[in-house]
Amino acid sequence: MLNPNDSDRAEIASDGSAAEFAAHYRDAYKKLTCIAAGVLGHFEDAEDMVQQAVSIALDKGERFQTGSHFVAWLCTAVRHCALNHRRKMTGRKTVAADPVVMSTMLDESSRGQPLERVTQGKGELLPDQQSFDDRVIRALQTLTPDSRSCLLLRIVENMSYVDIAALMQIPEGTAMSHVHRGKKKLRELLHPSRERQGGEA
Amino acid sequence: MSERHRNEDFAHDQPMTDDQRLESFLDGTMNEQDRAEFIEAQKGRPEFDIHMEHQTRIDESLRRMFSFADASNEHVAEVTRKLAQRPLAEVRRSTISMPIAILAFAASVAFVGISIWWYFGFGADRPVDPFFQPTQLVSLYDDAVRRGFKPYYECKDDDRFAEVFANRQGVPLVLEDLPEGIRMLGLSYPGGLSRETTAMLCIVDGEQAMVFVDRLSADQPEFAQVGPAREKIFIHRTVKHDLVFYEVSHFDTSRIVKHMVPAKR
Repeated sequence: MLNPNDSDRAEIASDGSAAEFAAHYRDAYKKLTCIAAGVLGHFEDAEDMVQQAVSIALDKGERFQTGSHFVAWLCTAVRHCALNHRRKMTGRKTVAADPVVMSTMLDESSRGQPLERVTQGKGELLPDQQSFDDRVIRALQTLTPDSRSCLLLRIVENMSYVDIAALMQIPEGTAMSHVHRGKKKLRELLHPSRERQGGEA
Repeated sequence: MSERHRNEDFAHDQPMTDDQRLESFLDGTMNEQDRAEFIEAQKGRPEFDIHMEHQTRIDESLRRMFSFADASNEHVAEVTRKLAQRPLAEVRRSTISMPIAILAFAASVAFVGISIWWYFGFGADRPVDPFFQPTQLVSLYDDAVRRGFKPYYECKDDDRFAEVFANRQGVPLVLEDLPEGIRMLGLSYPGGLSRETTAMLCIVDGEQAMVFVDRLSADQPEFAQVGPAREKIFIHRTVKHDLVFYEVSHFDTSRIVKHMVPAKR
């Protein structure tokens, strides 16, 4: 639940109540991460995106308007930052691999353990690689960034529509529409009949 | 009010479609009564169970994939430290941002430019009211006497007389039959209280008298003063129907104004 006095958060922090701000920021952190993931369409870079966006926002604190919702202000910063990142990544031909994964693969390879093939000879994924989670991620890509964010806030963070609306700065009805339509679309795309047919989401 | 009733898709005066009812049920925004009725209505419909199971699976998948860790202590400490170094409340009190300042300066320059253009260019052709300065009524009386006490307009028609005041003071005036010894010579427009002041020249018992008439809103009593050096000059002030009358004569009582009656238009 968002604190209705969030607009005072800046004053609290500036007055030296650092512990209070820290506690509040911890509460908001996962919600901001969900929003970043919603905009990006995946969860990998979401936490980095939040940390980067909050850092930039605090460095440019003069854009914060008196009386506005402090967490919502951070939310706007996260959305903008994530959208910029998404545009950059969309324009790229290649995606940087996670160095931790790369080093793990290198270690296993050096120990003489053969790396497991993830594709068959013709290029399609092995059956056990076609997990339901992968299909959900692919289906999520068909939703708009705002729809994904609202959906994740509702399902993952179990937020009320009042709080989602306040955080995203959209009307409550719009937030609810995003969630309901998003859920319906995911159900259609991930319907068991499609799964049996091997249909792509 | 339940969340369901706030949903713009589910306007309260419109019945919900089956799809909307299903979404509301799956989303947990249905109230208890609607929920019970909905479940009862779905009995014997296998597709409902499929929807339920399917949605549950999707929700679990999303929760599994997007269950993020709490913010690390290091990150929270860093954010708190940044905020302490640059308090937002302090920054907000800073001066106007540069883009707004530039816009404000540009707007000021534009305003000054337009004003100059309007005044010397476009505005140069506009009609300009002639300069006017109120004058002491006694001085106007003296001027009239010195110039032979001749009216500008010898009005002999009652309607024309009334029309002059209607046009200049907004109220038509009727001049009643004057008693013996009082004679109206005509009208003049010498100014006085305002540019529209209308003066009537009369002869009362062989003496020259003037009545200055103007709107009450234009009244300036300070211009109806008689200096201490003047002898045998009196000014009598009367107000009738938003009009002010100043009678200037050698008589210590008003003799003319009582015969001037505002008329209905």
